[in-house]
Parts: sequence; C-alpha cells; structure tokens
Amino acid sequence: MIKRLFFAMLFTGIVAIACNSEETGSLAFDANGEDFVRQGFVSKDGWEIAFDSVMVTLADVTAYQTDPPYDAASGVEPQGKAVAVPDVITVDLAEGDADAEPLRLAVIDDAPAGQYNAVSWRMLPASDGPAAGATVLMAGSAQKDGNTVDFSITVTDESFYSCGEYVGDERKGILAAGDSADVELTFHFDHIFGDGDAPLDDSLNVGALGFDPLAALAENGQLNINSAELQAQLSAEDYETFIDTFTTLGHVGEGHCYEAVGGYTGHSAP
Amino acid sequence: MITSSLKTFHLIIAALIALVVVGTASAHGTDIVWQFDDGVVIIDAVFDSGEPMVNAQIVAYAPDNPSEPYFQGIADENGHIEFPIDPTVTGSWDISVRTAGHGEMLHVPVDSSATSLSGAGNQGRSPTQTILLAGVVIVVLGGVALYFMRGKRSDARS
Repeated sequence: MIKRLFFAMLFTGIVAIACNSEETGSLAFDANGEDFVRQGFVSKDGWEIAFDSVMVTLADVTAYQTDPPYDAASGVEPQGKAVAVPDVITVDLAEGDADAEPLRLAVIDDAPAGQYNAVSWRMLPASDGPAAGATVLMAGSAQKDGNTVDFSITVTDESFYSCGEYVGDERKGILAAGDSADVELTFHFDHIFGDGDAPLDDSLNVGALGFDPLAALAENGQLNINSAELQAQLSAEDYETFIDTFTTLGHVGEGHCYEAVGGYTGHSAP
Repeated sequence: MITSSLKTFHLIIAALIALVVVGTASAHGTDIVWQFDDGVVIIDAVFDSGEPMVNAQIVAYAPDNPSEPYFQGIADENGHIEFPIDPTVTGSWDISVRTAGHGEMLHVPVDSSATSLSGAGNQGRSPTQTILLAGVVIVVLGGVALYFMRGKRSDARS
C-alpha cells in the first residue's frame, strides 16, 4: 500500500515538474486609442474634435496561440494556448501627451512561449470610478465655424471582440522563451466620427456618423448624453449608424475583429 | 404559364440584386486574393466595395524567421503586387496587407510539393454581412418555394 502511494506521489511529482518545465516569457497587453484620441482630429463633417478623456472598461482580455491562424470572420472562439488578464481594467485612452505610447494594461510574466496570433476581450460598464456605468465615456470639445460643443458621451452597451493577428508597422505577439513580447487592443474612434483627412466617399466616412447629428443635440454648447438618450433623440438611422460604428471600434492594429454588441453571451458561428 | 415564368424570373432577379447589395454594403471589409506560382507571390487587394487598395503596404515574413520582414513593398494603383519568395523555405509565409484603417494577414502555406497555390484573405465578408447574406438567401429561397407551392395548390384547385 505504502509502495503504491510512493509511486503515485513520484508519478504526480514527475508530471508536475514536466508541466512546469514549459518555456515561458513575459507577455504584455497594451491598449491603443491611436493618434485620433491622443492628438485630436477633424471629423468627416469638419468638427475639430479634442478629447479630454476616453475611458473604456475591458474584461476577459485574452491572447491565444492558434494553429491554424485564427480567422476573425469565422465568428467562432479562438482555440489554443491562452493567457488571460485576470482583472477588469478601466483605462483612459487619451491619457498622456500627444505622442504618448499605448497604455499598458498588464504583463503576464509566465506566459508560454510561442506566437500569440489572436486576442479577445469584452467591454462592459465600469462598476465604479469616474466612468461608473459607462462602457465607453468620451469627453472633450468639438469646434466648427466658431461654435464649440463640450461633450460627454456615455455608451452603456456591452460589446465583445475576437481578433486575429495584429496588423501594423511591426509584428507583435511572438514570444521567445525568457524574452518578452506584446499584443495590442486597438480602438478606431474615427469609425464613429469619420476622418476629415479622407475623402467623403472613402468607405470609412461613408459608414461614419460624423459629429453634426450629435452637435444638433447640444444645448448652450453642452452635450451630456448617454446611450438611451441618444436612441431617443437621434434619428433611427443615425442611432443605428452610431451603434454600428461603436461595434467596430475594436481592432488589432489595422486588423479587423469579430464583433458582438448588446451583451455577449457566447460565440456563435455566423 | 408565361405569367408564372415571368414571376419566377422577377424573383430570381430580385434575389440576385439582393445578393449584390449585401455583398457591397460593407463600409470596412477587404477582399484580398493571392496566388503562389513558381516561387512568386501575386496579390490583388481590393476593398469589398471593389475599390483597389491603392499603395497598400505589403510585408512578408518567412516561416523560418517570422519576426523579421523577408520582403517589404507597395502595391500599385490597382492593389496588385508580385514578389519572389524562397520556395525551399516551407511552412506558412505570413503576409501583411494594409492601408490606413484596413489590414489583413494572409497565410500562404508553402510546402515542398506545391509549385502553384491560391487563396483568399478572410475578410471578404464580415460576420454581420454573412448573417445578412444568409438571411437574404433563406428569405428569397423560402419565397420561391412558397411561390411554387402556391402555384401547385392553385393548379390542384383548378
């Protein structure tokens, strides 16, 4: 009996050592609102928009090693080794100066080595703090033709993103043993407002709301509004555009994601 | 009989129009196709509106050194580019294709036996579009089916 117990413990120990011998490195998770948020920009309809803060609340932020590479268009859950950020994190994407680096959300020091070629995350209302109740809180000012609108727009809808590999200036997510790498959650706020530097018939601008419909809701240069009020006060078409563009905020660099809005309950193949 | 055929024809035309509208409704997708032929990668990149991804930035990574670019180039005004790779390096050649706001990573599986391959990127149609497209197809096919069922009932009554 004792002999059996000894061998069982020995076997368990060997398995435990084998499991712990996996080569690891340090994987960082970053959030990037891009220059549009940090430096401001001109909307497709000519409003100069400057953000004081853009608060987003992120949960279940996870990076995956998928083989074959994850296809975001599939709408199914990424499969493979996964490393998750354990906390729900609220960050201000407009934090720092105009040339600030992307925000570091977390660093996982014992991430298995390999290529992290997929990322997923949820956005949900913050439970406390200055963004309490908001999934996304955009605050700032917009100017056009001598008019100024100070705005605070609170979006309360939940959303979910699952994305493939980062597509950008550099390749991200390749983690060698004993080394470090990073993955990035990128947010394209120009999707909501459009980009005055791009032609009006550019697909980005065609699909964007712009700022005119929001400015029309301001009173005495002030616009403090939430999702429910937007739905009540915008035209049905404009509200649909707003929600559609909000849904497509999440990217990995320029790479697109599978998106679900309105409270994610699970992956489903489209 | 002629009236029935005309209605069927109109339904089919309506279905085709619906499919075209859904396929081009995206404000943001890309439709990128690639070929690998005798050591040369050929890429044609357009947005799903059909507009070419003019001057798209192309970066290719070899399977044996995925961190460092093997090739960097710019697509022409038609979103077209051709460049050679080393076909003796087998595995997934990963190729980044991007313009401002749009991008995709292609995966070209090169093995020792293949001299000619082709494929497409994975963002030709978004999940939402796919759902819409599937919905349209189901509605249209259902409509056609109901139409013919109604026709049969009418024939039976008469």
